[in-house]
Amino acid sequence: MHTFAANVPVTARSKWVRRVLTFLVVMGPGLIVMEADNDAGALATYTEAGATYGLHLLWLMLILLPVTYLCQEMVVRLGIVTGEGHAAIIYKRFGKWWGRFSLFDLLLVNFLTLVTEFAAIHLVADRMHLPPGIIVPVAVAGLLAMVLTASYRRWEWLTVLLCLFDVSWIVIAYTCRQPAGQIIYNTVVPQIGAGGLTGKLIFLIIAIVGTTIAPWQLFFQQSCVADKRLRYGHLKYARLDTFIGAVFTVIIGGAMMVAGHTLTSHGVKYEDAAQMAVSMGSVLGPAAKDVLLLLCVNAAILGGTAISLASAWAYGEVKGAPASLQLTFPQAPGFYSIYSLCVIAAGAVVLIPKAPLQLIILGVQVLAGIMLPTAVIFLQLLLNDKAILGDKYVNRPWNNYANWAIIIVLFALSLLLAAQVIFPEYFPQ
Amino acid sequence: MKKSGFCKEYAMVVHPLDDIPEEKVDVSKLPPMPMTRAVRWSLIALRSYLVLMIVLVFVKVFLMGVGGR
Repeated sequence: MHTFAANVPVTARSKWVRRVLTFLVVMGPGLIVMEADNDAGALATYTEAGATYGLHLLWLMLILLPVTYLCQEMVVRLGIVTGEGHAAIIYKRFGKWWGRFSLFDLLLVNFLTLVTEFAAIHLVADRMHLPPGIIVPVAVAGLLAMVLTASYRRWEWLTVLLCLFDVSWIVIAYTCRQPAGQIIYNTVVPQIGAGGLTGKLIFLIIAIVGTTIAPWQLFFQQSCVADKRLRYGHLKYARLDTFIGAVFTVIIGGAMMVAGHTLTSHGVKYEDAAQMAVSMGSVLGPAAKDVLLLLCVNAAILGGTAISLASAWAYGEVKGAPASLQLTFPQAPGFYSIYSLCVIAAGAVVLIPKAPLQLIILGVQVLAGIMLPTAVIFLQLLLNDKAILGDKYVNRPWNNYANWAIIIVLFALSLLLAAQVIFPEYFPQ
Repeated sequence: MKKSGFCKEYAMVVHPLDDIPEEKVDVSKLPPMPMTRAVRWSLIALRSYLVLMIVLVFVKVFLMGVGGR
């Protein structure tokens, strides 16, 4: 099995072994994009949702499972058929104007999101009484070291290992001892809790949607598929990879809500994810505190590398410059410079004294939720483009029905947010 | 290697990065996507909507910050 990482083909003796080996070779982009989605911002959003509304919003995770899978499966198809990233396709099919606008949107939201990753690391350092002035630069150095080896495979395996560390969330949720029947009930029965539809609830729902299906994910996975040079024959395995990733991310998101709920049900006020991790030490034991703090950092590193790569790939694709993890820095200077610039600048921003970090984290998730409908509309147009996808890979009618339903719901949520901002008196706080 | 990523006769699994590059659809050779005037204006309206919403989010976050949520 270790030969996957080497340049040696593996001989399979049976059909099943061959399938499993092929899946293991293909696996990566789907799992990483989904689990990196449970980044620091998602952690803050899910735990705050759990702390504020208990288990009442778990049903949202179940609804978001097919939505996130459907969106990501489409970019897998596009990536395999074209061998190019999402930004490149938008640029070439819609023209320079739309290509540059999409790149600007992506770079803006990605940079703000990256700030939230470092904000989380800053918060963790604060809670552990470690100097953020040292911890944040160390995290920056770690993120740079992850990609500067000029090996896609090395980066992928390291990132998959970080993703698997998130299994600890399931253990944490189990030790919270919340009633299983209640968790299942709240997962399958939609409800909004006793307080009704308040402004804060709408904001949080949009944040949850925005954090579970973010625009950067579309760009990241397609570029990842293209950089890994996945082939037509890999499509079914890439779909399975994406589905497993979607299930995994939804379960982990639910576990985060359970942890947030457990904190407040023990009478501890929720402030932010790092404070939750520290306070959980008195609820679940000191080991839980350490694991939770590490999970906070892990979430930030995972999100940081994926988001920065999404920006770097997209920049290279639109500029027509070399952009691949397989290339060295001198071979792809623009790609690595954008990655490094994003990471270093975001790390510097959070070191500004008294920045409202938790507020920035929640605000960015909402911003992503608002930008998502536009991204999905471009995706919808591209996935109906027979010139690219032909009859075999173009969207089926049911794909289109599902996509338009997703777009309508996303627009409705963003309009609700607009109404809440313009007419706050109609929304009880 | 065959384009599926492995040779059936040898049942050999090859990492795609070690395989011969597969022929893909060359998007740069395709003409621009045909768009009706309605679609074009819809996209422009979408862009305006997006800009407006971004401003609203910044206002909302600012107000939440001032009000201490």
